[in-house]
Amino acid sequence: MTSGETTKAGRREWLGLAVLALPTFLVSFDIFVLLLALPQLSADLGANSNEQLWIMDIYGFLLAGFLLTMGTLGDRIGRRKLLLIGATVFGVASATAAFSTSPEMLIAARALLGIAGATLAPSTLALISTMFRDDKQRAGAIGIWGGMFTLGAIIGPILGGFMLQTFWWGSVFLLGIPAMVLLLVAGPAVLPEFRDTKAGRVDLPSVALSLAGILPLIYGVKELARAGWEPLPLAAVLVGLLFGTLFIRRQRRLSDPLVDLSLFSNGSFSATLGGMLTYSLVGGATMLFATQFFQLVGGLSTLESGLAMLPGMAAATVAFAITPGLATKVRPAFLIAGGLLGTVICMIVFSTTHSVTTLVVGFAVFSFCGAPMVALGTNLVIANAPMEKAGSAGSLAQMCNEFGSALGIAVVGTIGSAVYRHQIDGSVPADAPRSSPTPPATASPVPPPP
Amino acid sequence: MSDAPERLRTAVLAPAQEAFTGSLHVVTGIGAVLLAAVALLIVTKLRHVPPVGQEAPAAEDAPETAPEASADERRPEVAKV
Repeated sequence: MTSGETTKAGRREWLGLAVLALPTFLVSFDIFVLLLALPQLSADLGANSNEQLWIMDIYGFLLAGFLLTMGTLGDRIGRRKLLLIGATVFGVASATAAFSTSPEMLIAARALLGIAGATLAPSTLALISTMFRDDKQRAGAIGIWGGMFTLGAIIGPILGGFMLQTFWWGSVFLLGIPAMVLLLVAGPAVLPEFRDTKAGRVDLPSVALSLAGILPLIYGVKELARAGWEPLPLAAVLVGLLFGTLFIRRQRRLSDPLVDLSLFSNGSFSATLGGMLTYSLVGGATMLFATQFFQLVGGLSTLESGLAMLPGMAAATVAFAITPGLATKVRPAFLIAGGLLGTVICMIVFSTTHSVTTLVVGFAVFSFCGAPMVALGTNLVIANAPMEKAGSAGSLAQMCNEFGSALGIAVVGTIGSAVYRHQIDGSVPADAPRSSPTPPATASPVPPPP
Repeated sequence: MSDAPERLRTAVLAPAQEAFTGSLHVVTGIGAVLLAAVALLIVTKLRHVPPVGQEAPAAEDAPETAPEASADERRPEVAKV
């Protein structure tokens, strides 16, 4: 498919993109804003530390768990239909979260938000694929889509901080409702419907196997980062891997699988997903260690360390906007690899620095250089999938980001903790605390890259 | 007596900061190696993909399968970004 052979998107499609930008922006915005609100709502609801962790984590667990199912479901029942259902549930769950009267109620509302959130990213990506058939226009649209994530992380603390100072903590959850109402009103007018009419019914055992694989795996990986090599998270990882293997074996047998594994036989598709997974892995780990460095070594507060990441978010937003234009002149392989070489230089600088300023500036350069991997990578994944599988492909791209970030925090974080313990042994008094400063997996004040 | 907590704090904090900086250095060093490997993978596997909006050379642009699928339904093996 080339630009010359296809119909160019017009005003209706660009208006549709503006409508699709709303949920994308809100998902990122919600993550940041909750971190700001957590101290207030914990005090108000009397949430203990365990409940606080579940308030934060349940969203990410269920989002990652349901991504594959929702991506495929959108392809089967209609992408616009799934998006509008997801937006409705997201709005209702937001209102429930805002008026929660107990930690349990808030955890349940956050769980519902996670499931609803899982419908949004694959649906929006798949709809972009439907609306923008022209290569250049689709690349630009996906660049804007990616930029919305980082914009949410920038505006989140500013608007959220204002709301928290002016109103009660629940007000930050209400911010999403007008946007979802606008999506419900404008969506049917400006968004096209697309579904795969040849696809069969969703295979429910596959759905169950995917949830039984992904949920324990994500839980185990996050807990390994938080608690170390404890039996429970280790068992959770093993259970997740077992069900994951059964899931893959079932997909190979089915004529109409939940995930079409034949997509991976395309080298471009697999290499791009692998690249996105690794970039998220390194990005997630670097972000975690950088924010801890700001606090432990630089003496910044949690909020200040979050704000120190904002130049990086702004740089990524700019890069998402200009990458599609550059990609019309330079082959994506060289644009992505050139950007990655820039991130390698940043990492080499990070591996020798003792300066907070260097880390702040370096993270901005890192985010700018890494943006082509995310923006063009997402576009390549979508472009390499058949039109009727765009939702499924979009959910795989999102899964790579979710898993990559969690794996980076767990695996690279564990290595960092081991280095810390090794270095500190013998250099502090015998009765001084030796525990690693590696924080809970939820401590990163910024969302992972889209 | 009142200096004791401060002395302990100083004795713990400086080595902890030094050790954490060391762990940051190791983590980012690992990250540099991983990202360099990804750059190599991307150049190897995607170098044939043309710039956005341009067609790939005919030899590389063969559709992979699905003769029943129309051109609009199924994108070719070589992706255009």
